Amino acid sequence: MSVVRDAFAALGVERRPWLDDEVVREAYHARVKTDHPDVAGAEGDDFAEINAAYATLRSPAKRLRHWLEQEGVPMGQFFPDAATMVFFSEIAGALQRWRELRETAERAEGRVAAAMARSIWMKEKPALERLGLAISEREAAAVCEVREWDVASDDVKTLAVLAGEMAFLSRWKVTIDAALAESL
Amino acid sequence: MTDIVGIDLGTTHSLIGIMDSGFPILLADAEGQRLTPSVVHFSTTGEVTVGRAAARQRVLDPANTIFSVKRVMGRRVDEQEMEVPWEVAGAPGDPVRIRAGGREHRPEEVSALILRKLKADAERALGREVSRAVITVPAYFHDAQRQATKAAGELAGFMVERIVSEPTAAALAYGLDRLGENSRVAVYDFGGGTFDISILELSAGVFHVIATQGHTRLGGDDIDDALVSACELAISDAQKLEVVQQAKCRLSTEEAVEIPLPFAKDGESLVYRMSRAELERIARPIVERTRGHCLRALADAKIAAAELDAVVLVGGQTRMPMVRRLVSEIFGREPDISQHPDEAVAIGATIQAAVLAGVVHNVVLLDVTPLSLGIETFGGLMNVLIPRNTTIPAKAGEMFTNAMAGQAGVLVKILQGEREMAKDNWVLGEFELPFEPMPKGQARVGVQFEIDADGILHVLVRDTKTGAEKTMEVSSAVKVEDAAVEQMVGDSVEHAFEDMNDRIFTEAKLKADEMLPAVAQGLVVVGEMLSDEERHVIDAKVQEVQDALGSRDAQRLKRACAALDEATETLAALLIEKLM
Repeated sequence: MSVVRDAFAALGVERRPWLDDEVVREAYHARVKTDHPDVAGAEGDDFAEINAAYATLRSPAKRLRHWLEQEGVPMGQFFPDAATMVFFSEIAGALQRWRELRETAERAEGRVAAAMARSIWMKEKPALERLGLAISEREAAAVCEVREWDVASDDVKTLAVLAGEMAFLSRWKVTIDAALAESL
Repeated sequence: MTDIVGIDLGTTHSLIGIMDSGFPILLADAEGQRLTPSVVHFSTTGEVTVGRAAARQRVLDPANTIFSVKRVMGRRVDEQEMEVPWEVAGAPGDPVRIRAGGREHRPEEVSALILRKLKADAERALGREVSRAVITVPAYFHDAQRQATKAAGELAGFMVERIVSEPTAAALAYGLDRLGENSRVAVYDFGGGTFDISILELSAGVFHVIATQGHTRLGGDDIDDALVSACELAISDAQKLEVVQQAKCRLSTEEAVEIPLPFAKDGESLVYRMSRAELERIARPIVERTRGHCLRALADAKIAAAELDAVVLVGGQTRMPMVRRLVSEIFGREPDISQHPDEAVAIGATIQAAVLAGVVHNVVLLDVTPLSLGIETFGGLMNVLIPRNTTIPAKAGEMFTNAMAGQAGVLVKILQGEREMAKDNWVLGEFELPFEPMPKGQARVGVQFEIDADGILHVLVRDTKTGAEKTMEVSSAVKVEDAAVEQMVGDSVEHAFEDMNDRIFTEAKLKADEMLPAVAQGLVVVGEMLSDEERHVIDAKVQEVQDALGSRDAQRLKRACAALDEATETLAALLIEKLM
């Protein structure tokens, strides 16, 4: 449950689905320098909200969703095309294999067994990394679309669908990143 | 001059500092020393000594000399993995209590004695009273450890203005004369008892931690312990500790040392010999453990090592050449050694104290919570409310409702950690959330979890009907009746003897069943790369395991498996190289 009611107002930035990273960061730093409890004392008591606003606005996917919420537009249903479905099932398969091999490696007793199990597990790593990279590319493409979306245009439906897609992508990305981190 | 001091309450040493006309300075004690050993001695006659004087008691009276107390701060008896010469009191699940000088002490009381000495030294140096302090903790300290540190400060008579993470403080020390730069730095903090790695963005005076990782039980102490275990001289452990520490420090600059121990044992003189190569062989597994934390921190920060502008070393253990080599290997660059390894954290704490006092402007620290905070949910899973590396202060809300009509309340269990299953995480505490009698699903109580700028949790319950807010007391989850715990422990011990042999044998057999084919397979793959002797030893150990399997002797099988595991170390290393 998010605690941010209006992240745009909290940071004092323009209410738009697309914002430049640097603009968001500067707005946040400006608030930090005046309102952080270390500087402002007890009066700066709700800085948690400013932090939450920054966390929302610095992420293109969260920012878009928050904007849609503010505009009262429900998030669009994202229907992946056939190629995307294949892509997603490829990810699910790779993650499944990764988990099984990890469990085998973790269960392995003795140095030799552990070494063999781990090396078999690690052979899956490039495949998972490649899929992670492919997601990043799709995410970047989606972010580009949001940026190019004309604020004057009233076709919010396109944006709502994009938000749905980005939510999908970021969930896969988070899962893959967490899985890869298990091997570090 | 400000009236807030900065304190580095370290595992092995502590320091105190204050900002003086724009410069952070560290204060010396009456002997002119800035570094105070974090050691407390309790004599059986009731006298208490702290610091250097206490450290001298370590060899004479090890059982009553408390050092590395930081390692048990905010800990419970059952998770105290560390070997300590002093006696730990209390039942499993209870907060650790230390028995020394014929009395029991809580870790925060022992820490408070160290803090009180620092306070007295500072007051003597400044000629006036100091009553407000910023105290540092390892970044990876969880809530209970931070609370215990804060309590120690209060027991010592301080108003604790802020608990700040050590690597973050070190970053302040590093960045204070680089305020104009925009850069990304990692701080690799390898101290006496703990390891932390933090990655920060420095931008026009804003020090923003992006990710932090670490281990609260990984430090120079572990290297000392390993050296003590490897030392074969006929002297006491306390004597060994003293000589290996001296050797370890000297080997940072010398290739080999010979330390004479006159009249060490029954009037006989001994010599302790150690080379840097041997030290590195013993220390390598411990130092290597920092690698994974560094890689995970980079992954969390979503940046590549090459994108960093500097890797700053702090903590006494980073003087070791092998540590520096490992850091340059991990990050692909020479580490920055501009900061004093022992003093950077205290200097950073002093700067933060000055920021809070309003004397240093244009510097703000944005720290993160190192561990995810969540609650236990259906199926024993952890539901994350505030993910790790969230900038603090941070808050999250959760709505609770009744699953049954008329349900009086629900037990909310608060967790900190990264594991999926609730039971694998640290239980921060729990509280009973009361419901008004209502039909199923109608009761609604909002709970707000807030982590403050000290990294300490506060729980606020909001009644949605009246809008009234109330702070919830979270009882630390260790309040089981002592007698009940003893009963539980007693029961398990009684049952244990009956099936102990069977259980151990079954476990050992599972291990053997897995090892034997793996070794056979390994020998096929890289067997020809082994020497005849190595091959011979492995064959003999395999035979021993097979014989033990037929014997039904659990201990024998366990020993045989361990011996085989030991014998196949080279084989395992060759396999990893070949297969990866």
